[in-house]
Amino acid sequence: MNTVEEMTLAFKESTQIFPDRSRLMIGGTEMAFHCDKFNTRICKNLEDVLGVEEGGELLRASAEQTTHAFLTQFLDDGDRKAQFEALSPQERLQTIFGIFKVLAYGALEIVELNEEKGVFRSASTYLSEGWRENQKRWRWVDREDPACHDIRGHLSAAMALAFDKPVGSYDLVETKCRAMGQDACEFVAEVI
Amino acid sequence: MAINADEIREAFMGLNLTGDDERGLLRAFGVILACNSVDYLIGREMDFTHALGPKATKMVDNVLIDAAQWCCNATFGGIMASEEWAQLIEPNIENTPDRLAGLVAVANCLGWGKIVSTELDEDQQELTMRVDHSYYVDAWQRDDGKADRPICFMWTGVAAGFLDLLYGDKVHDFEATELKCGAMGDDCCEFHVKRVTKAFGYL
Repeated sequence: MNTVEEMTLAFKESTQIFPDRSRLMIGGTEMAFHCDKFNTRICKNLEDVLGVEEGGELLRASAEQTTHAFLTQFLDDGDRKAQFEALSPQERLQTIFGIFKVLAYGALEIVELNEEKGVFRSASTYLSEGWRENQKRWRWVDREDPACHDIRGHLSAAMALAFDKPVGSYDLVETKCRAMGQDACEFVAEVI
Repeated sequence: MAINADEIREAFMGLNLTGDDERGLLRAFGVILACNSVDYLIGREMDFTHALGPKATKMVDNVLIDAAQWCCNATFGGIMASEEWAQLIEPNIENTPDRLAGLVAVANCLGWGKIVSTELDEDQQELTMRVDHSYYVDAWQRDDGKADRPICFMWTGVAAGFLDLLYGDKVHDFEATELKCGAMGDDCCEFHVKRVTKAFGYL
């Protein structure tokens, strides 16, 4: 097992359940399960009220801050900090994408990567997958804009950690989205 | 036969609730689950509240409650129709309070805090539900101090959603009110659910 796989497994195995409080912790951070119904409804309701751009930016920014915090909490813990720092940016992202898979955000792949720019693709972000199903179920109109606002935030945080930059260093645009009927979601990160 | 919440929790956590290796998705109970930090789940609701300001409080609350009530209907409806429910819970259900106990046992596995009591009035079709350790309370108070109104929006929608499922025909047949909230300094979060007397609206 290589370091990337070891760290992903360590994250998964860090799960702690507190039955007396019905709370759970993974990687040293409080976590909770929700389904695509809730998350797509939150997305849709916020977009309906604030508009797609402002609602999406609110979700992206919140995801960026909080994901950076929980990843740092886990990756800075004890010996793991030196292990992570020894990895290349590509390996760091692979580690983080492994953690995202554990959390069931979907599978992300690196298409292009350097310090200035990253391009990522996913055929299965959980939000786009959920949106497609719920659009039929609840007869929502076709989307004209991408939906994976939280994944943009997760990726901004991941890029900052991959290149040792402060949170907020990368702008993230979703250029294709399965929720719009396209074959995959595609994200472009550019240093600000 | 009574619902065994400990057995349900053990079984739930034994399901290996992580994304699959190929697609990174977690399909269970007829829905797609994901695990997020509590700071994100609560933070986005706080940011939404702040974005619209105090004049829009009622609309903000209803927008967030609405999302949870729809979620409850689809998610717990899916759970009750799932193979896992059929094997583990359905054999122990003899009446509506048992069915509610099954829903509560599953909700108590998700990391949201603990439903510690339910009082179901079957004649009036009303429910009083109390929650300890609601995942809203610490996060809200840390970032915003003591709340000036009840803020457990997700729980409010879920409480109403339980009775939509047990007695209703559709989402928003029932409505819930949070009467006590830990974020306001109360000793627990308490919700009262009754059948709606007017159509649901954001305002």
